[in-house]
Order: sequence, then structure tokens, then C-alpha cells
Amino acid sequence: MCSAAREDRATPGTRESLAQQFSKAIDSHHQRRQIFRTTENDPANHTEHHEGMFYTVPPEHFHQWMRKGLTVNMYRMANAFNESSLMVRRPATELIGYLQMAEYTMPVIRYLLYGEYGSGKSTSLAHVMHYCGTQGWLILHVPWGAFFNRYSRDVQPSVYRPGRLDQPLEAAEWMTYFRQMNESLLTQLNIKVQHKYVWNKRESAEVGTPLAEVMEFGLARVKYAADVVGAVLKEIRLQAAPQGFKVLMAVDGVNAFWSTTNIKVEDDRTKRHNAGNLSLVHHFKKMIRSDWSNGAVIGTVDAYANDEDQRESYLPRYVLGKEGFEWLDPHIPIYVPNYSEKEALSCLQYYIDRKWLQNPKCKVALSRLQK
Amino acid sequence: MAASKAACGVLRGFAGRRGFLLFCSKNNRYVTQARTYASVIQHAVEKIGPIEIEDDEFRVLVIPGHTLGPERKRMERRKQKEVPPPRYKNMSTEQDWTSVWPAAQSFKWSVVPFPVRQGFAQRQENQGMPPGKYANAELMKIPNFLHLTPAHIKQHCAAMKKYCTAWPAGLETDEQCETHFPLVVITRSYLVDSPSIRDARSRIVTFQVKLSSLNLDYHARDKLLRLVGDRYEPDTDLLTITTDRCPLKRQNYDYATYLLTALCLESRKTEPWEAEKTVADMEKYVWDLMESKKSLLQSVQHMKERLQSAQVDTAKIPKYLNELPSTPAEEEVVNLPLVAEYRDAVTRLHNEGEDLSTVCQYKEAVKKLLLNVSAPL
Repeated sequence: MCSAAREDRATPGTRESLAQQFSKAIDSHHQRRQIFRTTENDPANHTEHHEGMFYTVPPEHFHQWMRKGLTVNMYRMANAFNESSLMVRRPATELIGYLQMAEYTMPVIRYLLYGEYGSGKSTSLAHVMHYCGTQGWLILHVPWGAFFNRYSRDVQPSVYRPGRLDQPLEAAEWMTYFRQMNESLLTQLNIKVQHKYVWNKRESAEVGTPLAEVMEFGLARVKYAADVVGAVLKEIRLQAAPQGFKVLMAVDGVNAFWSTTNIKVEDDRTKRHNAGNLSLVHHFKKMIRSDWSNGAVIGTVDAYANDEDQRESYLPRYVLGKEGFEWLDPHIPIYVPNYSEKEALSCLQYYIDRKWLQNPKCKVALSRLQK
Repeated sequence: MAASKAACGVLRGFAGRRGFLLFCSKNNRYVTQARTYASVIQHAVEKIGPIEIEDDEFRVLVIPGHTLGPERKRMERRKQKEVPPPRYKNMSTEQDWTSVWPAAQSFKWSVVPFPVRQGFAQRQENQGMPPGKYANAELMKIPNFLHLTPAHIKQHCAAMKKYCTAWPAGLETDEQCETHFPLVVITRSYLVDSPSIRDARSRIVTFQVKLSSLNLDYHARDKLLRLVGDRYEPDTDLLTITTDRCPLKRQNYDYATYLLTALCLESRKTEPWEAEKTVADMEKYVWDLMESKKSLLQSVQHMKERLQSAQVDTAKIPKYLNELPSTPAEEEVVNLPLVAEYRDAVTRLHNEGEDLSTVCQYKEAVKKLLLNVSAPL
């Protein structure tokens, strides 16, 4: 360095200006320091160059599209840091690439995120949902597929189709969640139903009734909420292509649709109902067939959505089981790996930056690791 | 009595002044005086030699240790033999080891001519260091092979050679042995020191045969595998039949032969009920019979329909769709190279088991079917 500077002084013709020297110094400083943040906050522009960097999700976006589905820790940290940042990772950018590449007049393509427990499947899904949300897609999000199997509060036999089970409270809850997530888009699209839906002798939805009204009915008469969810999904499926709005069906733990519930069979209390018997699950399962177009289906395959005796592997064929695999075949499986070294360092640096890690020894350890 | 030889005397108690004992000779001449019996007798003995007190007067006081008898000869200690130096110190490097250590025996430190350590020293000066061979019980416990050195083996072989015949020509390699003698029969004989020469274990007979040497076709092989269950080892292709239900070796041998024959004959037969085989009975994943084929054909059909009905950006769809006729026949779709790749991927995923590589192959195959991967973004 010193000799180079002396040479510079010796040859005044090649001497750099102060501004050049300053910018050079800044550059080298940045090169030495690993960059862990990107200012590119639009997921559509995320490429492999942004991998390992954190981008900040605007608070209103976070509130709209990531209200559910992330891990509890992510919400705690978002609260503590007073900002919500996600790391740009390969599975999400790859998936966004496929979404940009796909032709939407064709039947929907199913994508499955798979990986070990805690590798970031749900977070990658949230990243992709953010992309679709900013692109003006209608998003149908099931935050945890196994929720309907395990935590149902009120289960009633279906009136519409005997043998199936309605979960009115969960259905109403999901509908509220869906409406909140897509509020502006739904009013803008003003979808009208194309089929007649008869709820009972007196109440029915005629052809041309606004979808918002149907949902309102479902929330007012919670008894019919599960059927209304079916109707809403059916209308969205049918009208996505003709009306020209793109739909994302995102399911976290999609394999739960083929596992068993903890709801006991009325006639034989030793047996438990299959998830397919739940009317909500039945409706969502119809959504993840590829017989409609102008949309995409993204699911995560999570062993923890299965029963306890079916969690030996995280690979999709095992976790989905024969039935689930046949239902979703052909799909594009996308592997979500654990953090690479670069990503782990970036994450540590982010925590230090956010003062989540405050011990000065952390910084020393980190700088040593970076060498 | 020895009275004539020995001096006699009379002990007179309280005769002297101030309580002294007097010892006088027989003719009453004064000999000595002392305060105690022991002292007075000792003095008397010193002065006049061995004394004998006459029976009619006083008994002689015999005090062990003081009254001296005839002198005994002291026993001399037996001399210990000199310990010769251990044998290994005198061994030459040219010696015949087989004569030093001819047969199996436990370790002898004095014979083994090399340093060897074994065991564990605890709470001693040399803690942590295995003790040497001298008087080392650990070395005696373990088996040694000092009787089976190459020199020993050479001698054994030389001794046995006269009983051997020449190795048959044409059986030089293991492969040749396997082709000419595909069946391996394993029996065991037991020789023990006991009242009976019978041993129940010697009845067991094991047949081992490579399945490839049985010349089975696909159907027969599949059927035989279903019949034998876990007696077949896929890694080595070995079928193992063990028979032990009859009391004699010969009977078990016959039974195993019967079993092998019956297995081969039965698996070559095709029974009428075998035509009722369903998908659930398949021994492996056959794509043509599975849902996967149906769903693939269906999605290709759907894509083709959309291609005709809607405004499609042809740059974004996979190229093979444009080349297909409007209503493609099943064979046309199945014969596409991309579909063949997909079929192989699904079949491999199911037959070889799932791991990252098979899932990745499946992903690549599906990507080519559904997306135009080569198109720029």
C-alpha cells in the first residue's frame, strides 16, 4: 500500500482525485465486510445475486400477507426488531423464477417445498406469497394443513353431503383470514357467482350474487360456513381464467390432507376419521388438482403435519404417502436445504446488527469465521 | 544314676545369714550361696560342674533354659539351588522356533524372546504403562498363536502333503468353482469328550445356492422369491435353506434337496389363479399400471386442450406440445422421449427408494414436461 502511494506521488500524471480515493476506500470496505442486507425489497427482482441477504418486508405487506404461517419466533423477532426481514434464499428465488417462467393459460403447476424440520419451508412460502401479493394475485393461504385435523373445536355432520364433517368455526375463521388478506383485490374484482347455491329451503345464492355477499352469508350463518368456503373456492377456480386474475393456492403442510384426524368415528370410537372426510379439507384438495388454470399451487411437505408414526423421512413421496403423491403427481419438488455457511454468517451478522446478539465476543467470533 | 560321676550336694535352705541359701557338697563342705534357688544352683554348677541331688534328700530343680542338658546339633538350612537365567537370554537367532514352542500353550515369559507388554498398572509408580512380560498374568489369560507361526504351518503342510491329491484342473478360480459346483452344502461334525458321541447340533444341514445359477425366467424368479421370503439375500444373490427338523443329518439333507427341487418346479409353473394378480400384488412399481400414467396423460390432454382454446404464449410452453397432434393417442404421448424420462424417474423413485438424487431426477423430468425451461425469463 505504502509503496503504491509513493509511486502515485512520484507520478503525478496518474494520481487519483480525493473523491476517487474515497470511493475506492468505501468499496474495499464493503468488500471486506460481508453484505447481509439488500435494499431490493421487491421480491420480483430477487435473483441469485441476493441470496443470503435480508430484505425488509414493508410493515403493511407483512401485516397483509404474512399475518399467519411463519414460526412463532419470527413474529417475536419482528416485534423486537421493529421490522420484519426475510432472508432471500435459493428455494424462494427458484420458485419465483418458475412462476415468472410459467404460462398461465395452461393448467396450474403444483410446486412442493420439502426439507428437514426447521429448514425454512414456511418462510420460503411466505417469501413467494409476498411476491404473488405484490404482483396482484389472489392468495388462498392455509397456514397449517394439520390444523383442521387436530384442533377442531366444533365438528358437525355435513348437511350437504352426509358422511362428511363440517367445521363451521374453522371455516368462518379461514374465510375471515382470506377476506382480510385480499380485501382490496376482492372489491376491485367484484366477482359474481356463476352457479346457484341452495343453502336451505329459504336461503340460496342466485346466479350473479356477488362473492362478497356469499361470504357475508357464510360468516353470518356459521352453520353453512364450510359449504360457503366450498362455493367460494369453486367460483374462484372457475373464474380465474375467464376473469383474468391470478390465484395462488398456498398450503403449509399439504400432506396433512391425506393423514388422519383426531376426530373419532361416531359408530366405532376406536377409529378416527380420515382428513379427506372433513369438508374443508375436501374443498382445499379440489383446489390443488391441476384442472383449472391461471394460477399456481404451492405446498410445503412437512413430516410434522403427519401422524407421529409417519415422520421418519422428510422426502415428499414418503411424507405424502401413496394417495397424496398420486393426487399431486406430476409436481415440481423443490428442496429447501439448511443454512449454508454464507447464509448462517449473514444471519449472525443480522442479529448483531439488530443488537439481538450484544456480547462483544460475538463480533470477534464472527470476524474470525469470515476469514 | 549318674551319682557316682557327678558331684552331689545338699541344698540347705535358710542356712546362711540374712536368708541366703547355702549349697553344700555331700560331705557338708560349703560350696556356694545365693538368694534364689536358680542362682545358687547355677553358681554351684559353675564351681563344681554338673550336680545331682540325691533322691533321698532333695529333688534337683530343673529349670528349662538354665538346667543344661546335652548340647543339640543345630539343623543346617538347606541350600537353595541357584536360579538359572531365563531361557530367552540364551536363545540364538538361528534357532528352530517350532521346537521351542511345538504346541499350543499359555504364555511363558521366560521362553518368549521378544519384549511384550499387556495389562494396566494402577496406583503404582508406573501408572498407565502396561506391565512387561515378567510374571504377567494378563499375557497368560489371552490366547496366543506362537504355535501357529508360518514355520509351523509350513511343517504342518509338509506333514499333510502325503495325504493330499492334486487340485482338479479347471477349478482354478472361484468363478469356475461356482459354475461347476453351484450348490454349497454346509454340515458340521462335533467331537467332544463326553459319554455320548451323538451331538444334536450335527443334524443341521444348510444349502446355499446362487439364484442366478438356477436358470429361472422372470416369472419363476419372482414366484420363487415370494415363496422363500427372507431366505434370499439380494446383495449376494444367495438362497439359503436350513433344515433341522429331522433327527439325522442324512434325513435333513434329503429334506433340503426335496425343498429345493420343489421350489424350482413350483416356481416354473404358472397356476390359473396367477392371472388374478392386481396392482397391489405387483413386486415392483410398473408405471403403465399406476395412477401416475393416467394423471400424466390427463395433464398432457388438458394442456393440449388449452393450447387450442386459449390465447397461449407459445414461447412459454414446452416445445413437445406444439409437435403433438390435436387429439394425441395414448401411444404417441407415451413414446415421447420426455415422457419416457418422466416414466423412468417415477419408476426409479419408487423402485430404488426415495433420496435426494431420485427426487431431483423426478423434478427435472417434470420441469421439462410442464415448463419451457430453455426459454429466457
